[in-house]
Amino acid sequence: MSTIALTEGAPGARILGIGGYRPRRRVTNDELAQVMDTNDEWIQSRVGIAERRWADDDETLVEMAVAAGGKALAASGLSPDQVDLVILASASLRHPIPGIGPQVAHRLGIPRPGAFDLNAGCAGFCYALGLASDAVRSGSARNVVIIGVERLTDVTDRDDRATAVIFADGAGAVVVGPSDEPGIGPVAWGSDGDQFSAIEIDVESTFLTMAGQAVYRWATTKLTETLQEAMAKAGVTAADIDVFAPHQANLRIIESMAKKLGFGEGTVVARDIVQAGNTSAASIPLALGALLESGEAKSGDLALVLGYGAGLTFAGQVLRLP
Amino acid sequence: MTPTDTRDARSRTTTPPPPGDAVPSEREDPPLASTQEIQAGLGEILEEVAGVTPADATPEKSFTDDLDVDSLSMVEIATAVEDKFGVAIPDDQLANIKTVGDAISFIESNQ
Repeated sequence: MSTIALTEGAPGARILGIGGYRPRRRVTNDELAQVMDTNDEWIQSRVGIAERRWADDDETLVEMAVAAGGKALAASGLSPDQVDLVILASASLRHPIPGIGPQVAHRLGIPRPGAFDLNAGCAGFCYALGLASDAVRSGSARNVVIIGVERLTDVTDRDDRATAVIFADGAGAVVVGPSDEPGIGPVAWGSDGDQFSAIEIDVESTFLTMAGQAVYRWATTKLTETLQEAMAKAGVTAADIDVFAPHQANLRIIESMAKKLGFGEGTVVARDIVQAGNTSAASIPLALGALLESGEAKSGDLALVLGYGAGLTFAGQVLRLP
Repeated sequence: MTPTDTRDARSRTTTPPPPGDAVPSEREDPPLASTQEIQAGLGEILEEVAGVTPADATPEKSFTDDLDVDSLSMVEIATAVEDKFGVAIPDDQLANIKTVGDAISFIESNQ
């Protein structure tokens, strides 16, 4: 009887490069206050956002994804033909067929890779990171490009002050490849499908709605356990974490999580939401990229990341910055 | 790994055992808090969560209008109440709690 042969994988996986794309148009709180009943103080105290980026018509999901993916590839030092898999995480595709993963991969010059879209809401990036790490370790792919890209303004009612001030646009990408020393820890993931309607696009209006209090309660109580699990699986403690970069959903959730985990004084907490708003699946790679660019974080730092959102879904892991 | 406060709160039972239940429980139910104790405890929570001076947290005060507590802080108060008094306040009930007195009554009748 013949046996099925298996591929040989790498001992570990790590992030080789990060890239991001922020839309050109900056929208401040004062600008929003001119068109809706809100003000800078209200927005900053509720969600901690000072400004966000809104994509113009030509800054499509594909264009932003290609821009971010191209930067991540350049940073990784790899050539496109070394990539075998492209995972595109997004929750704001207006046209689900066809998925845009293959097109983005083609535009990046990657010859015939596995390519698909992944919708796990704002947890999409961390879900993709878990899959990419496993693909490299099992030998299913030599290298993987992950891109989180969103145009949430397409699905947001710009007259609804509860959501219009929060959701924004952008793209963030990483390249995951093999390493002798593990650079991405085991994923701690899951879902709470009983709360499926807490964040949803309303079928009638086609706009995003969110049960703010329910989501806030869920994020600030249940997810602490997931963060602890991600650290325990990677064999590290809060004292080892140099950078905490959870999904940039709400500054108060970020601060609450950081306080509960009890990091050391030297731990850098990502607060990219202040300038970027909530960019869903793009927020974590954008935040990590910004910290590396500003010098607040450095190559080799140990980071704890956590994505969470519509579904409800969540996924977190410990990783080493490239 | 040290369990978090949150985990403690979630493992605590909030429904009283049925009458006549003779099975000894591992965790004894805490004695019921008096109205004064609830008001004092709520005052501490309000100070911690929203920087409210405990003496200002009198029963007739509205959380939003008088004490400047926003909707997300109300969620933090609800989770702190659950930790302190073992009384869960679901989101739909939270919407009905407008004043400090409403919160005291809710805790009293659900503890």
